[in-house]
Amino acid sequence: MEVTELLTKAGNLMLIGMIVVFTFLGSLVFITRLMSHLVIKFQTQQTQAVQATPLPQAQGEEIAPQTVAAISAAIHQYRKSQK
Amino acid sequence: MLWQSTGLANFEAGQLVMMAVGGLLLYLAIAKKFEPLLLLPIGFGAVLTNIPLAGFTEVGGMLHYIYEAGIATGIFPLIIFMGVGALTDFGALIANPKMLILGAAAQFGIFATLFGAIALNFVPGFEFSLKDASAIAIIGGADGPTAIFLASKLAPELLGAIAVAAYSYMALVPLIQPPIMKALTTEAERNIEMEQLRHVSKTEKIIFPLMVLILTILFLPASTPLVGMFCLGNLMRESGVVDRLSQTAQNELINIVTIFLGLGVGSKLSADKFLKLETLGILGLGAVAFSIGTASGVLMAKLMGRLSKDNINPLIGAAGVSAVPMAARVVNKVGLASNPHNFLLMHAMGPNVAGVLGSAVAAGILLALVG
Repeated sequence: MEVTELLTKAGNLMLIGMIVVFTFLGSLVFITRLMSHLVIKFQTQQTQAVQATPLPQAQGEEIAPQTVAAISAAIHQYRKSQK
Repeated sequence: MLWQSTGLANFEAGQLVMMAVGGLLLYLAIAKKFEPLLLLPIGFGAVLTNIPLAGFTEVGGMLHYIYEAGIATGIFPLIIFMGVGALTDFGALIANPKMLILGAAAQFGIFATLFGAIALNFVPGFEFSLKDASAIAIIGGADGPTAIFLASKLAPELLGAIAVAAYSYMALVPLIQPPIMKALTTEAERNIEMEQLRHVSKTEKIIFPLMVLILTILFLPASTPLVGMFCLGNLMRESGVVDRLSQTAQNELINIVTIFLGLGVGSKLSADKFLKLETLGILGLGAVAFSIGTASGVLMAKLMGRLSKDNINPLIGAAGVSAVPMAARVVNKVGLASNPHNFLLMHAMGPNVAGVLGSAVAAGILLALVG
């Protein structure tokens, strides 16, 4: 094959090659952005959903003052007996 | 009679020269620490190959089978690519996907060299076919396994020279790149500090390799051997459920295969294949490919910096020629020389891993159109 003919082929290859590389990686840029966007959106929704469900502790009844007094007294007595 | 079975009686001049080349590679690996993991087995393989009467590379010889089993089939470079995938963290790239464009720009080094290799045919003594030229050009991808894979498919008789050139220049990245980077940027540009990268979630890291694979399957099936194995390795790493496999791929397996790959490449360093004018051409073209790739990456990064509202330090474009992680380290070093508070390493990792994908894509294009 003539060298000039080969050169034209090489030139074509260079053009097509660079176009394909740029299109491929360029489209990957957009797809990656889209993917990250969706993942982040989905994850924030999930964490919001978790926060939205009230914690069982907060929902439960307040501890009666008598109970608190009884427990404090018990602790107090226990500490004294330890000395 | 006994004299006839000694090495001394049977040496040919070419074999001695090639043993010296093997010795030079060993010297570079041991004394200069040039890619020792590969150049040491390659250099030793070159010595073994050129021993008279031992028949390492004839049918029945060990190196012959190592080459046929692992390199002619493309299996060794692909297994190494899987290991590289398991070693790669795409976090920096997912956080800033624009960097893929820099990885694409640096591949211009490959296609410009292809043109250059064919143009070299005007010089008497050179006769590169389009296949030869493509295999030589991939040196510009700065990715050893990709270069060996493509050369084994397109121009096996040039494989020795191509692999030696690819690994030598990868070792020379810290010498080749900085002058080009400095020539193409101003002091002010090298000073640019970039915004810190956002945190990337595990889910994104798991989906990314699968996404890359799907895109390759759809648009460039010729790249799927390389990209597929790379994504497999990366998925093993990021999924977190097969730590044992991931550890094996990035340590034991890649090490074992590297030994055989080096020996197999060394087996191609025989006098009749290496001591040619073409080898000099390949070494020269390889350096050109690296330089053009670096320059186009830096220029593209400058262009992006002008067009984008974010600050982009043009130095990171140089990391677009894969050579992971050496090229990124070089960027970091050159950046620090201008501004001691400017750590560009993480920013350069984005274009760096994009360059690996880019050269695998370029290899696929060459395989599809030339192979």
